[in-house]
Amino acid sequence: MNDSHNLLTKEQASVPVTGAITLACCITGLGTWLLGGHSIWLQWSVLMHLVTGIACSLALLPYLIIHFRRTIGFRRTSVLISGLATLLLYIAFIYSGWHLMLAGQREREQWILTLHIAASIVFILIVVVHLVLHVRLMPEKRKQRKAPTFPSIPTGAVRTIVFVNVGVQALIAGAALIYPLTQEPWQTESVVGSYEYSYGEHKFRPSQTETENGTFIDPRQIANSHRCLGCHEDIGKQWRASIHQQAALDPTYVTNVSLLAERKGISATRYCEGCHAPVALLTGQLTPGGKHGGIAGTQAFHEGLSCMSCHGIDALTHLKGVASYKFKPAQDYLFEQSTSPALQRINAWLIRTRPEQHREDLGKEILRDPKICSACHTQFMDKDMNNWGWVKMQDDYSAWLQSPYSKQHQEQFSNTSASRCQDCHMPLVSSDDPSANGQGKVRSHHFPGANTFMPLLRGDQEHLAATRTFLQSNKLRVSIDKPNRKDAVQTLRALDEKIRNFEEAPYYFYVGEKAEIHTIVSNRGVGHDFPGGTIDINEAWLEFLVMDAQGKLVHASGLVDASNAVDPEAYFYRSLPVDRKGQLVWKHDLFNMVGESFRRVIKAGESDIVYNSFVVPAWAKSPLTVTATLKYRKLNDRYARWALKDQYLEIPIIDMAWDSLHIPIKIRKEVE
Amino acid sequence: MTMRDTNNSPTTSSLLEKERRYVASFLTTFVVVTVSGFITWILDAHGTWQQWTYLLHTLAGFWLLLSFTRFVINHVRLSQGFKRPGQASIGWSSVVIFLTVAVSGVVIGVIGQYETQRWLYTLHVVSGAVVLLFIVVHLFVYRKLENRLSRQARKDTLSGFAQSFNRALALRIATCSGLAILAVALLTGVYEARDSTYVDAAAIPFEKAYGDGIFLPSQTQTSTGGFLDARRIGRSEKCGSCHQQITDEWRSSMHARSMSDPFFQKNLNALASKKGMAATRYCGGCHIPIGLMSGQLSQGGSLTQGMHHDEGISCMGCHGISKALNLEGVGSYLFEPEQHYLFGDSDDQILTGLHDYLIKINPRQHRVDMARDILADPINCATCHEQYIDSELNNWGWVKLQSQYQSWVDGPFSTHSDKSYADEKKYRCQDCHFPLVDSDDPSADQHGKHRSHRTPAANTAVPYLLGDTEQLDIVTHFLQDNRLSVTLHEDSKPAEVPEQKDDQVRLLVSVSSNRIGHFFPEGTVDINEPWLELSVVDADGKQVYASGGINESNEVDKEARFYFSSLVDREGNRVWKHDLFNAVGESYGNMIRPGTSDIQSYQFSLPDWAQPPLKATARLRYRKFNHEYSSWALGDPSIKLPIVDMAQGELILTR
Repeated sequence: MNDSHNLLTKEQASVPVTGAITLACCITGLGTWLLGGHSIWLQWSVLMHLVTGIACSLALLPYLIIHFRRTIGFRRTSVLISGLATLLLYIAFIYSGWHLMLAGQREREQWILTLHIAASIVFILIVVVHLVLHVRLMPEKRKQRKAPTFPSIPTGAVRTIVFVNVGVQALIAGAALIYPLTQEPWQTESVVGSYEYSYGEHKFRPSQTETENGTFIDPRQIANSHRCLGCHEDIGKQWRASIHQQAALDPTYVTNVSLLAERKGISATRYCEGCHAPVALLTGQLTPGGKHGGIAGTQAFHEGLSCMSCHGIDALTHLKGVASYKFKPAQDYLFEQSTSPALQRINAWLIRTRPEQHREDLGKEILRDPKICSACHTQFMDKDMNNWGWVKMQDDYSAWLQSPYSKQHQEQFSNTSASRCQDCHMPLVSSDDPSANGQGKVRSHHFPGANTFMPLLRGDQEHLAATRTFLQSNKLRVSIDKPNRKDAVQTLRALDEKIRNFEEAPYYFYVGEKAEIHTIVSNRGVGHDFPGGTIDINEAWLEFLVMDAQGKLVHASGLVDASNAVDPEAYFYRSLPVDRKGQLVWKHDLFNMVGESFRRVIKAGESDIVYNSFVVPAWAKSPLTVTATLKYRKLNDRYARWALKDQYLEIPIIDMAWDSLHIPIKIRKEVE
Repeated sequence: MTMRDTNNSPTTSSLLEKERRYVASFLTTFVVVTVSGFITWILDAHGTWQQWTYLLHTLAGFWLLLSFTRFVINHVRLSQGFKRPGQASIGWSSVVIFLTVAVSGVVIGVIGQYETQRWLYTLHVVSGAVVLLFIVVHLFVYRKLENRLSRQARKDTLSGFAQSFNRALALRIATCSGLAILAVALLTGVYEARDSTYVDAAAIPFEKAYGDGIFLPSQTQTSTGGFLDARRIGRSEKCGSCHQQITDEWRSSMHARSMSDPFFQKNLNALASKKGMAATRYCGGCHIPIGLMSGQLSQGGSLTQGMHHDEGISCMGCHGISKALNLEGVGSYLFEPEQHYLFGDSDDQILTGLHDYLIKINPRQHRVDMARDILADPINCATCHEQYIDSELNNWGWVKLQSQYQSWVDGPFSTHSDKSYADEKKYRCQDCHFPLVDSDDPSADQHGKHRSHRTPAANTAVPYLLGDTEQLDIVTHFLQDNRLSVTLHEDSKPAEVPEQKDDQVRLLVSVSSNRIGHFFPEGTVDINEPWLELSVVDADGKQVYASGGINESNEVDKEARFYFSSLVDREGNRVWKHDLFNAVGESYGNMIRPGTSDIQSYQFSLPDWAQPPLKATARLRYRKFNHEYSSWALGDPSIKLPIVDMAQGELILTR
């Protein structure tokens, strides 16, 4: 009997502590699960669940082994089976618990949390069943002996268990009460101190930006993107390569915003910075004494469109753009403001393990909606900036709305499924990011678009290649229409009269004749107008070359000269803004713009026909090779030289689409 | 310390008695199931004895579940008094693992192996191996522990149990295993000796006509080199017993109607009456695969009824293709029948049920045969969607006809063309014409999808005539799904003399092919009828100009811009009845290459009454088939085949 007596003594010794820890673990776990929410008390409960969970996983195993060894041999099958079941459930919730603690809740492993909760609850139920069965199936002999019903529970154990748990809850409550007293409120004033209200009473005008309480935003609540990268490394890397991250440090932006600040004062840069450097705008930097985002070394300069710049958007104020969003900071997790690395780790752990609030704040529905892009990809300028009146500028969002991809169109001729801005500019890519979906994909934060000069400037060959591929992958199509001749005699064979209508005439040109060729440029894969964005400084044109059989140039349009400038007579897709004196506004100094003297774009799903004519020279050898190539350069050379200054470099010209055609030359006979 | 709880139950002896009986039955079945399972797993091939062994394994497996349950309940009641924590742990672990084997086995045995649940089979095999190991260890430990006891104690405790492991049990196990092997051998022998009900010979006396090849002018070949029993190619309803949803889709598809299609019937019968029954073999490889390969297409064969008529391109019509012989088409595929599952040739309901069950529980060979890699490859489509006709049929020479595959290869979607201007991803024929749809089919992928076998394309005529509105809607929507776009332009050509007063309006209409992987139109381009309709109205809504209208007799304005190919015979006459054996060339071929555009120009004079602004509307309309042909084929000019508007564009004219 010594052996079993020893076991009983051991078990009795471990019951109070094991019981207290296990109960505390159950209460904190059930509490956080049942009550939910994101209160300070709850977060402390989660932390306490972590502590008690580790303790419970360590304490419960020896107890279960001792209990198993002590009670094996009792002839009570149902008690035995319920006991064994608790062992299996123990393995399940400990495994899932440790997994959650170490890896956090990953989007595609939601079943682990479900398993943890389900296994824990069933464990509690089965323990109760186990105890009830034990009492109900007590052997007669034992009842007669009047031995204690639960011999392993020593007197006083229950008291210890209750006391410890009251203590644990008191600790949580105490921490929850004291914690707020230690926290400073977030800064809601301008970081500069005095703030100049130059555009009416509104802090952020002429930008259309709003904040939740109408206050300024603490820099830590909108910048600090590096803290996001702590968990979302993969997405962070993508964002670092993106033009969004470079929205402020882009040297052309620096040139333009500096020009504006110089001409109209720093307050005027509020117009640009809502989209280019929201960190500067929302923290109240844009006032005399502050620094705009185009100044190297500032936080706004390096953050560009920080993570929170998009993820902090709560609603749109309207769809007319110029930063027409309402910013709402995310709710705090414990130690959000702390600078201590240990406390920051606790903060990050809480986000990882209980990401519900994080998901709600940063994964808002509006991020999936094309509308969110309209906040910055739609633009106008009003009297307050240009002393003239309302001038409409870029509008990629409305262009998309009218396209077949928005499905806001005549239903039957739309795409089967709507393609949003996000579907092309944030394609799904493989990733092991915690937020990756069930198929292990995240939306790429590379934001492929049309900007080739920034990756080139930064030496980012990978992003340059990706942008090139994006521009070339079936976005536009060029086809040269065959110049079939009505006057051609195709065949001398007799044909059924009915066929004559449908006779395909051959094509050729006579020497000395004026040749006329139509080329069709069709926008088949761009969801908005082509080109989009800053079409006053982008450069898209159709190069049209005609060569004879010996490679001699017969006709050319759209060639690039030695000084890197495009033939001014080329067929351009662009807009030419003008100022009130009718002068060309070519420096992207939009505050001077009052209208457009020229605008040619191709709407999504539509085509443009380009007419070219030339005289076939006598020296030309048959056949002629006609080549039409759609070329794209971000930026045009004149603007690039001015804006990039000493950083000027030869910006690559991307061939987006091309077509060619051989056309025979004939000499006209007197009589055919 | 004793080995037993002090309150020894009075029933121990009876439990021991039962244990002795149960263990015998349990161990015998366990050996049979384990051995049959492992043998078929290790010697993994598809033969007759393996299939009988599978059946034996499944039946014995179900029996094992019962016998194990009975044994374990008793064994727990008997042995729970022992204070042997290690042995108890191994024992209970065995129970848990056995339940895993049992649950996975029952799921496979009842509902079969689903494509998404391949892990279930792996689990079954792995947990089967592990449970064997655990039971062996459990017995080994038991022996060790027993040897440590004194003779008296041994007698006292487990005599009954130990005694149950005796020569009698060993003999019983050996006998049962032997019987099982004998049963499998016997069944295999009997099955092998039985005559197959397949008759791989011509269904009717073969009429030699086009050289030595029995299927010429079709380019089809069979793996046996000879005729095949029609039932090897047809009987698609059998596939439907498991793949119900896919078979239903196929029934609505043009593939299933390739032979019963009234238009095809008209042309086929015309061919047969002009050139004889053997000439229909030209059409047979693609339209009548069952009839061609079973030798129906000779003098005396039927073109209007039978399995080859009803099933058209049956399931096996595509799934039996093992190789594309060439890419020139006209049925240029090698047909290879599937490996035999037991009773696959039977018409008996019970035996067919057994055959289906064998596929369900072990679909490995079925998967190999039915999901050959070529099915995912566009070259599979090329075998029938490429066409030519040669002198044997047209007495003229090689004339190229349909060429969907080639135009896809040349286009941007194949990624075979200039890489940088291609689509980012390759789109195969299958990606558009076999779109993924929601599915609960056994072959559904991990996202719960299978490829729709409705093969939506451009044929609205047949679903319309048959009243299949669901298929008609799907095809209509398919045609309108952003395939083409129409844009109107005022002529960008500068006026010769800028100040010249001109009452001429010049309009250009461009039609771009956006999301069509091959030429637009394709297929039977001689009888399909896509055309451009242009209508110009003034501010009061009065018609200023119209092109491409339809008259009361259902004919399209002859002056309209059509997209089609006009075939001619050797005398320069139009070939309009799709009698391709008369065609020697084409006089007109206006078709749009994938990813390119076409311009049509219009000119009309502006009447003085017209109120500006003018509004021009252009529609690209599609009718399968043109009125002339359909009137002839259906013998009824009053039938109005549906017209689908594929794209439209508008323009407000500035003058």
